[in-house]
Amino acid sequence: MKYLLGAIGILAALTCGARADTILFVGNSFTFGELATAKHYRAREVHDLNPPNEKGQTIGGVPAIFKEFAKQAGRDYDVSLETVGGKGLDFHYTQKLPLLDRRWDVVILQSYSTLDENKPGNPRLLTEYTRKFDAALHARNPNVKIYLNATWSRADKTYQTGEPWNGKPITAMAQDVAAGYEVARKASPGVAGVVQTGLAWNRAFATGFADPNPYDGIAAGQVNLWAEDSYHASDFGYYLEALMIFSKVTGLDPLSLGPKERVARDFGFSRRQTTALQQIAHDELAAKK
Amino acid sequence: MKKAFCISVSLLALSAGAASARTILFIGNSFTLGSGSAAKNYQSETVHDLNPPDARGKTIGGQGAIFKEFTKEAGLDYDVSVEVVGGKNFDFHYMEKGPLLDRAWDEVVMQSYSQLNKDKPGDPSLVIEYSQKLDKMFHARNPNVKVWFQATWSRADYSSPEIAPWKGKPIDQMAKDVYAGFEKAKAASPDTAGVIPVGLAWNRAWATGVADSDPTDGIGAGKLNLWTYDSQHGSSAGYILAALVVFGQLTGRDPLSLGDREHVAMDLGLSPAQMHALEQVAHDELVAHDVKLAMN
Repeated sequence: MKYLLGAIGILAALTCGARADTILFVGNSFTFGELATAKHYRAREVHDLNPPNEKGQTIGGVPAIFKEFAKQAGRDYDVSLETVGGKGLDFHYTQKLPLLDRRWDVVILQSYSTLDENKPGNPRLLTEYTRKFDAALHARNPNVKIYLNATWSRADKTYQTGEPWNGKPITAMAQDVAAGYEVARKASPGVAGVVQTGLAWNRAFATGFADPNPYDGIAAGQVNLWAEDSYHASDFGYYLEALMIFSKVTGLDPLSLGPKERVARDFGFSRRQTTALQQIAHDELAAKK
Repeated sequence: MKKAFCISVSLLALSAGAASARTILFIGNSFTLGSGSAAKNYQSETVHDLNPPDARGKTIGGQGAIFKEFTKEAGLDYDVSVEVVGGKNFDFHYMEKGPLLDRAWDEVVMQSYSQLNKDKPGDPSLVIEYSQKLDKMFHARNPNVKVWFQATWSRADYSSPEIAPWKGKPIDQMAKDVYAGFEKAKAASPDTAGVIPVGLAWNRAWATGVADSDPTDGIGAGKLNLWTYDSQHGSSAGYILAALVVFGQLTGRDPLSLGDREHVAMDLGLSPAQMHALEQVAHDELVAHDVKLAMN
């Protein structure tokens, strides 16, 4: 009897252990949720590969939102993240590789918001380090699925004079960033795809859910996808980002999470807002098929 | 020996902590529990929720947990309990939750139905009646207890019949009327410590341009929305402002002493500039009520 129980225990441990896919998020403040509740949200549920801050806090961010979505969908992911503010993939590869050079099932890579801090819009650095990550991660696991997370237009880079996208429509920066990630993907055949987070933001502006210009206020009934700095995201913006990643990785419809989705409730969204965000993610994913 | 030493040291630490901590109880409804915002379950492990957890096993943080964090940062030791139920008034707490509340507390902050009376908006008679009963109960347990009223904010959900009396009036009127109602309750219960001007601080935030007073035409550039999506409950910014006023009133510490890079603000996504503005509003409102504030 004792042996039987022991055997069941080992069997359970083996099957449960085998079930959880590992997923790694590499990125900066756009992944860790700067200036929003998302930043330290459910940090205990994920592994932050970097040390805690001076208050002992670790990052939850978009990875923790992903984890909570997956749990609700009955999918078990073991989520890790390695994020540093203001950095691109070049930094993570040259400075953090010992933390990242392991066997992962899924990896989400997110680089500098303008693609290159010194040459805004130029995808050369992104492309070079995507290839390096692609090689290193595939050497560890030939079946690893690598996704690039193409982020959003920055209102500060669009509406402020002297900034690179000044005078262009708010949708332009996200389109340029998406095009840059596409260049990187094509140059790295091992990359599984690009998560179109920025294009989903554009869709949120087009449908009237979100206000495209925070500098003249937020129109009645609309939300602000950006934080106070018109650069980082609000909880709404990070939520939309996490929805896009969730569906790309799992293949599940964002709408399947439903209007009573738990992260949205924890952030204080109304059910109407939650459904609208899921519909936008759904439509953006459907448009890409 | 080593083990015995460790145990006695921890016991000592526990009893010392318990002896120095001031106990405080927050009674209220969705306005105290932080409905419609991330404040609701914020750092709930740092306070005692006297009611059972929800279906997901979560307990309430809300204003109680924000207050707790502020006091920790100020180097003060408060043992915080919360007893909150959505949509309820003082009569409910007294009649249904008496056994949970009937203890010796050092401080109690009570928050009533948002328009004082659900069926007779603006009528303070029910609040007066039950604050007398609650006050008597608390003083019987601890003659030195300080019992405070939290006078909450104006609602902008104009389509709701609950706020019909204030439809068409200036936005700051409902908060003024609620405050006046609590002043009557204070007069009827002379042992109570005072009325905390949370709603009047919201009025000040609008008057000074820190926040937008009318969400029906959008939110002005650079302004905060103190309400959440329903224009009734608070946003994280609204609840933080409420907790700043409570903190300043109860502790005598200046809300500005918490600094621009205050932890709750950072955790709930407010920028240093936004937090500074809210602290200034809370400071100015308390000073206008002759509250003496110290930086440390």
